[in-house]
Amino acid sequence: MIASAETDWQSQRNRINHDWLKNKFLLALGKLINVLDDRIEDDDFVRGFVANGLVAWEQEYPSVLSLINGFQDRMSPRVLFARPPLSRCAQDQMWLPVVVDAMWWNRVGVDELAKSARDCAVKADAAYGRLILLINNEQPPVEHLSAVPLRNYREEVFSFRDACSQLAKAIEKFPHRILVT
Amino acid sequence: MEPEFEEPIDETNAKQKVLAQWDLILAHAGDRKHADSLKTNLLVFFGGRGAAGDRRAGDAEYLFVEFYGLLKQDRLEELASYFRDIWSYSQSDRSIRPACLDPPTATTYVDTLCVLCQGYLVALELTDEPGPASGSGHVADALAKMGWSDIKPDELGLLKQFNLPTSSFWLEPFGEANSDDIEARLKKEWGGDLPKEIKALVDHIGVGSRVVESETVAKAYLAFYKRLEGVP
Repeated sequence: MIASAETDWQSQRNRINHDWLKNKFLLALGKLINVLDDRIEDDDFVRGFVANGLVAWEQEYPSVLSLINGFQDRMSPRVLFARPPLSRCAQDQMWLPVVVDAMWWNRVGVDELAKSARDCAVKADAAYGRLILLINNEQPPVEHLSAVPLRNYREEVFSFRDACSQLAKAIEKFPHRILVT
Repeated sequence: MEPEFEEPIDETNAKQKVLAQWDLILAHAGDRKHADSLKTNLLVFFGGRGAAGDRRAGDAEYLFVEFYGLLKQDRLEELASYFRDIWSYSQSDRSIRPACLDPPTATTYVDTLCVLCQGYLVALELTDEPGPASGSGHVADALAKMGWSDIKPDELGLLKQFNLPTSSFWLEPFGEANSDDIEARLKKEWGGDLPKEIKALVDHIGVGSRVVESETVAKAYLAFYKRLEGVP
């Protein structure tokens, strides 16, 4: 339903960026780095996260791209014409949403915001791909894995965490409301 | 809006023992300094908008959420269920995000009039309709702030579908509301008396005429801009 497009998009962003990426996934990656650096000891966490938590990236990546690609359609002031009062505009004024959308696009810099976020997402996915390839080739398999062999991949874990952090910042830059000025 | 919070978390040993029996604790953002001493499976700090600048404290494992409205008893179960769900790595059957975690949204008369001002100024610009103050500094300033300067009307097909605003342009969106109703609603949204530039526009459109001076519309738009962009 178009009338709730803004709320839907913001909810989707909150769930993906705030609840999952920042407050869950990045925290877990940070803990993994701390384990690899011997600052804390928690092999159970390593096994659990590598076996179940890390692959959450694969599940969420399409949602991240969908969020970025959906910004234009769901956060443009054009959506305001789907609900009162602007839905009552006369039919012969239907050029109005077109021009309002075009001006908003220029003001907000939609192209730059979306491209930056998309680039960050693609980089994070590539970093994940490199890391998961190494882990999947590891012996013994992940369910028996401890922090010790993973230390060889600290650089890959760090790169992935850094890319996810950049992605979170890029998504945060999208406006938090429909901007009419 | 900050949630109601009755008392800070006590650090006494007795209270720590009680807290340790719970598998989920909701605590106000102001008590984050106690995070390390709260023994629980899942710790969630909540705060209002703007309180989220320090969501992460080192490698502490807790959630930080923005919260809108009052934290009432009947919302706790819903929140607890949701937090347990998103904390779990099992992503299936995700529970619905409680509404109190999202900012309230509504299409306001402020937004509506702001959009109409933009359309009206563009319409005058497209037709080069001469007005008493056409091309004034206010009109040019408003058009620039609206993002009109880089638009190519022919590329957007605006020239094909374009129609001059009719007498219904201003009033039709507001239905049966007259200028008094519109002003009252705007004042409520504004939180007090309207700037004279916006009051002047409302007075003009209340007459029901298509013709409103571009200068009047531009000044009103700039007043909206100042407010919505937080320009001092």
